[in-house]
Amino acid sequence: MKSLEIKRYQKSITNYFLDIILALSIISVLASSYILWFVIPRGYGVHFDMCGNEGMGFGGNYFTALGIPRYLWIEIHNWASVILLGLVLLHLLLHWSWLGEMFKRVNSQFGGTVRKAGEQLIASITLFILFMVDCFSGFVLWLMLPRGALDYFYMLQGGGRTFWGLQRNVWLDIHVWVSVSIAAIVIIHIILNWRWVVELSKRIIEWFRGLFINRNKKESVQ
Amino acid sequence: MNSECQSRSYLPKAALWLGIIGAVSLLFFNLIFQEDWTQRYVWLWFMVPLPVVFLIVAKKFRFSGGLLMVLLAIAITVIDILISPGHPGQVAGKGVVYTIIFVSLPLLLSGLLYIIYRFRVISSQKAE
Repeated sequence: MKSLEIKRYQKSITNYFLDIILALSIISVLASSYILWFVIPRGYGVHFDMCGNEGMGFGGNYFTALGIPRYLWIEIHNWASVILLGLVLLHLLLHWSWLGEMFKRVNSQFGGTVRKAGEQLIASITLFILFMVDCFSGFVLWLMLPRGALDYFYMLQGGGRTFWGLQRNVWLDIHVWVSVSIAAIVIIHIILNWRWVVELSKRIIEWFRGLFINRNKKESVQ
Repeated sequence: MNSECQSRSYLPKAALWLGIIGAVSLLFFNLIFQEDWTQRYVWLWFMVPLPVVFLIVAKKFRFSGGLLMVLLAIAITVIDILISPGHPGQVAGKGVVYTIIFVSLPLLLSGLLYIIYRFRVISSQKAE
C-alpha cells in the first residue's frame, strides 16, 4: 500500500517537472510567434523598407528583434514547436491512464466529481485536437508552402500556391488563430488543475527546504 | 430544489470558459489592429479589459452581463467590417471571417449561455 503511494508520488513529481519543461516550451513558442506576428511581421514580397501598413517587405526577413533576424526567428519557432510536439505526446502518454479513468468516471455518471472530470476531459481533448490542427497547419506552412518572393501578388489575385485548395495566407490565418485559441484553453487547463499545481509545488518547496535545514543541522553538529 | 438545480447547471461554467477564450482572442484582435503604422487604432485598447469586466458583472447579474457580452460580440464584428486595415493577407489573421469565428462567436455564445441560464432559473422558480 505504502509502495503504491510512493510510486504515485514519484509519478506526480515526474509529471510536475515535465509540465514545467512543457510550460517553458510553450512560452518559447508563444514568444517567438508573438515576435513573428507583431514585432517583425511578414511583408508582401518586394519592398526593402517599411511600407505603410503593409508589413516589412522582402527585406523584412533581415529585420531583427532582440538581435536575431526574422528568418532565424522562424527557425527558432519551427524547432521549438517540434520539441513542444514531442513533449505534448510524452505528456499524453504519461496521462493515458488518467484519461481512461476520466472517461470511465464521466461514463458511469456517478459521484460528485463527474462534472469536474467532464470539464477536465473536454478541455484536454479540445486542447489536443487544436494543437494537432496547429501542428498540421504549421507543417504545411513550413514544408508544403514555404514563403517565396512575389507570392503576395499571386495570392491577391487568388492564383497563389495552394494545399488542399487553400492559399498560404489562409493556412497562416488558420495557424495563428488556432494558436490563440490554444493559448486561451491552456489558461483554462491550468485553472482547472490549479489545486494540483499548488499542492505539489508546496510539497516540493518543503522538500527543498528540508534538504537545506537538514544540511545546516548536520554542519552545526559537526 | 432550485438551489440544487442552480448548483448543478453547467451553463455558467461553460459561459465563463467561452468568455475567457473570447477575452484572449480579443487581445490578439486588438494587436492585429495595432499593426497599422499610423497608429489610428490605439483607442481599441480600451476594449481589452471589457470582457473581463463583463464576466465579473455576469457573475452577479447573469442577464446584464450576458447582454453586455452579446453587445460586445456584435460591436467587434461591426468594428472589423468598418475599419478593417490593409488588404487580406498583409497582416496574418486579419479578416472578418476569422474575427467572427474566433473572437465574436465565443463572446456571443458566452453571453447567450448566461442569458439562457438566467431564464432557466426564472422558469424553475415559477414552476416551484
